[in-house]
Amino acid sequence: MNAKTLQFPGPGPAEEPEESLDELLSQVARGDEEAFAQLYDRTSSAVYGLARRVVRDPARAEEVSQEVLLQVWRTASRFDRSRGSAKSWILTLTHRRAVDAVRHDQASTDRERRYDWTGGRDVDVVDDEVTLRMEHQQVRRCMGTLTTLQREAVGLAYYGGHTYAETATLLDANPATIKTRMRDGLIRLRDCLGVAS
Amino acid sequence: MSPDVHTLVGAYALDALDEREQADFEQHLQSCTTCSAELVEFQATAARLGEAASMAPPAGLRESVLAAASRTPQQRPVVTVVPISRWRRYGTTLVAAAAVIAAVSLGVLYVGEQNRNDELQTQGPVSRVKNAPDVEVLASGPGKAPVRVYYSRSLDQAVVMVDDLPTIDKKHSYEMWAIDAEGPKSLGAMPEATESGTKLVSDLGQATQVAVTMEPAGGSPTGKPTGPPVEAVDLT
Ligand SMILES: [Zn+2]
Repeated sequence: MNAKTLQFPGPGPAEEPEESLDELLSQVARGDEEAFAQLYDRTSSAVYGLARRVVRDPARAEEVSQEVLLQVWRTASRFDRSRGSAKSWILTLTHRRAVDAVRHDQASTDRERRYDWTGGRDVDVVDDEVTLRMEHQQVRRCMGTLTTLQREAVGLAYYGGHTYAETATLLDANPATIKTRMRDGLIRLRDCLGVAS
Repeated sequence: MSPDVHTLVGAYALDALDEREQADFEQHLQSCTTCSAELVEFQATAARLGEAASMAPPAGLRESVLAAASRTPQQRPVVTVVPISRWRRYGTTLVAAAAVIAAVSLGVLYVGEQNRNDELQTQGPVSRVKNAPDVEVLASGPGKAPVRVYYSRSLDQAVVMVDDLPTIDKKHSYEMWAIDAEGPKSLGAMPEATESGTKLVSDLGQATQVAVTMEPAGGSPTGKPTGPPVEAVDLT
């Protein structure tokens, strides 16, 4: 009765299988606030990090993140998984909105610059998740497989929020060339990252 | 459009087209299955670049997003059934079927577009103040004043926007002050040689004025203004 239960070495009890983000998103589409909270926990670092990278100002990045996450809540029913994953959809929305914010800010007040005067609101980069580190490494490795011009063109557009015409000016290159480098750079990245069609 | 229009799919996936080209390319996407298919892969690829930039968001964001969601209605799913009478009116079912397909792909591809306008009520901290029902817009002078304060007393928050103060060199910074009965309290100095910026201020308290002074780079060394205000905004 009291005999110790023998334990076999190996993986412990199977963990509760984590719900896929796609599945969470369809629950969100049905108005499930609990699912939305889970979705927040799993996507907010990516959303905020990307917004922050593009718009740079912490307060503005927070605004953009809030807008995007609310947009996800409101329009979850419009997500079509045959057109890509939930993660891809959410980050596409994030990038579009962050770029809009940068361009709008520049257009509305020519020289207005946004920043935090005190510098006190900055959050330390905390990414102790192993998966995240691996993601970084893989993306960095794959970026390294691009030609210099491809890498700079993709980086200035994606992380810098620049149009291809601006990118061409910054790189002192022909706009037609930059357009092409953006596409073939993405093809090479896609293949290196193993993004399935 | 030029023959190399397909090339634009890369720039489009990176949001690197200007508004006009973007609209044109979206037109192209409706009829080009090659580009539509490539776009799905490119967006997934770009998303990986996005994920690699992950950073923990400010602690308050979670609560604010979840609270906003619980009072925000959701859009209904798109139902792509075309009424029979309408099909007849179009003459052939083929035309109607094509219209349905176009509507479906539009709904997917331009989901970022179609929600832009009705999203304005979802606000971050700065726009929340600027759009607060009781917001007062106070300026340091008539016309295009260099300092404007959007002040919501109900939120006890203000957005201070500084635009085009006189040019200063790298040895100087502009510094903002909230002035109450006890005197000036610093709202922080702007970077050196900078004449424009925006700041969210949460603690105006009993202040009656927001003032700007020119200080040594990085702000006043004494914690008090070292000279007279360049601009001032009365809060009362
Ligand atoms: Zn095409």
